[in-house]
Amino acid sequence: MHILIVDDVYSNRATLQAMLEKIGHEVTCANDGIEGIAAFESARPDLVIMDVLMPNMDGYDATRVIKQRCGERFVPVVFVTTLTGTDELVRCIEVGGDDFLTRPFDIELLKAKLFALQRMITFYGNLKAHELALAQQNRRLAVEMRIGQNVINKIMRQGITDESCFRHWTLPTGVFSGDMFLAAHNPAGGMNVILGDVTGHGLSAAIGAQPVADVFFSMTQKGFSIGDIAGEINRRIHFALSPEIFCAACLIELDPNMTSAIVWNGGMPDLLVANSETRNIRRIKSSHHALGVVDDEKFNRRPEILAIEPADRMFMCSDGLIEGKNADKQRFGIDRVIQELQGIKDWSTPIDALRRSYFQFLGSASPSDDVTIVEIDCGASCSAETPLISRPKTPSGKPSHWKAEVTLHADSLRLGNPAPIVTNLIMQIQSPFSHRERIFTIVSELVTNAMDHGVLNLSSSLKTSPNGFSTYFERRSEALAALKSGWISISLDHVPEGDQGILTIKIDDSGPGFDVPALMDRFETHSGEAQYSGRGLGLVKKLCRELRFNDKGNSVEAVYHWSK
Amino acid sequence: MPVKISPSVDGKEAVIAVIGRFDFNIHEEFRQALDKAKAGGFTRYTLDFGAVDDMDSAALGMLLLLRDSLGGDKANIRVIRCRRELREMLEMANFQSLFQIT
Repeated sequence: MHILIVDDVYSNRATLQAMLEKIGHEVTCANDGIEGIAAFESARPDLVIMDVLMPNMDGYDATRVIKQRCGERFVPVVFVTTLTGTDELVRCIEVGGDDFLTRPFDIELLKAKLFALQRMITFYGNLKAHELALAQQNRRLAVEMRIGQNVINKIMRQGITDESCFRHWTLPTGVFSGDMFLAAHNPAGGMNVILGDVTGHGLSAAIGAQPVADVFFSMTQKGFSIGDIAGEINRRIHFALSPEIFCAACLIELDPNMTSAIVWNGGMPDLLVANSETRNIRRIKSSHHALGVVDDEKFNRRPEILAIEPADRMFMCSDGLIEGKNADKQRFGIDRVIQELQGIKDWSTPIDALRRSYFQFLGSASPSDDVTIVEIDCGASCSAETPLISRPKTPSGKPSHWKAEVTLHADSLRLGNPAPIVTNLIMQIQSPFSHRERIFTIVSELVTNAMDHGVLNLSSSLKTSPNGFSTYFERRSEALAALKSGWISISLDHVPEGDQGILTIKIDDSGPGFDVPALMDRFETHSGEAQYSGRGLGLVKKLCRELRFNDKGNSVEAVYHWSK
Repeated sequence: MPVKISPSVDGKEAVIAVIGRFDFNIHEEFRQALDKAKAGGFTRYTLDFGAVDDMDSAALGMLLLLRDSLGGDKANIRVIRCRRELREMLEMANFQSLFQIT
């Protein structure tokens, strides 16, 4: 150690110096307080041994100055004095001294004290080094967080989330925690929307957010359906990122007329579709894994199709909303969201109502995660005229003229639902990517109808009883197994009209038909929604430009218009 | 310690218990526990959720990490003593098809 001795008595200095040098310390000496301060500055000792009574400046004042000039360093000062009064000794500590020794002292005692102080110096030095490292680490972290935030900001600036049909609110809890809301027009003139929640915070969340946004925008531009988009995002995250990074997401595709929505929900809270007139609320639960959890083979890209009307409002939220906890550790929960929506009086600002109720519920507790709420007003027209992202080029050929017919007899019908095969056929000839789900739904519903109420002649009134559905499906499989004759014929007729394609799907069956006027009447009065049966046909009616049955009810024609 | 591992009576099963908040802050401990469990030559793994107060999506991420490093689809992992609230979160993520939740 380098030790500074400040003492006006030569013999004291000399004995101490000899003693200290003998046990391996380096020593600098000073005659009084003023010299002591100067020597402290120039020699930068590790420890100071200070006399109290000296001419020019005494030990008390010198110590006060030295301690001030130590700055970040810890340099112990030990007083050596002949004074023995308590007041004097207390003062040594008060002015900043760390210890004292009264003369005459034992050399072993001094050695012990020096040893203890040395330990403190080392300890202090380590502490400082840790502090420094921590500060550096924090600075690096802050930079990374900022980079993450920049990446996210850029991602979020793309797209059309400021369209008039959207209202959204985000409550950030500090650094970016992974909530992302994106929307873009698709080539068909409709819109694709995603609300995602990437695991992690800051940079790790940004890493996950990037492929989500990339794939979402590029595939939307190319006209892929949301099932395919979800599939590709899943593949990218699963393949390229760490296993604990995934993105819970709810994807919605809206058609240009806002009459139907295709929904894929993986790991997000229920999508709520609230009707502002009837107050009926539909819940679309998460039925899939979050994006990136399972491999491509296991991934389920099958979305749901909903009919929507102008009075409908769709609400998506991140789990921050429903996981929000009050002081009693209760969760806000999806039921409270539903309750709140049912009680809404002013439909111009439903998000405000949700927000108020959320904060009221939380009370003094603070939110632990980002909260995002998105509202889609199905009654607002979404202008596809001025998309921020330029309208994409169509991926493949124009609508063309073709016709195909398939007739399936009893044994073929037993093989399973022909809807996927028929849909694939259409996709292969024409590839109207973003229409796949809608076309599939139309074909599937009409074929099921022809099968169940035509060829198998089952009554849908079976479904209204409590155990209706299971009885119905039992009867159905019995009837199908016993089926000897009967057929369904599917004919597809596609004609181009400018950029549009008009697809007429005609389905005939061998059954006796059904009461067509009664069914049509039901659509008029109930708009085909809240009933047990006929719901499928109600949806088809919404998806198609036209839906016509023949008088008997064993032949139906659905006309579907599409454009790239 | 927020993460505890104990072997079952027959020594073939590792029981990993998370205590308190299951969130990003215990990521390191969880990873270490995982390494230890992997080195222990167990054939079955159980996650004990009985002492979990709370969990967030980072916890779901850690569960996936666990599953992945124990063999992915071949891993045999049970989640036991899972309260309704935690179960709802796991179900929203459809984790019931990846873990045996009891």
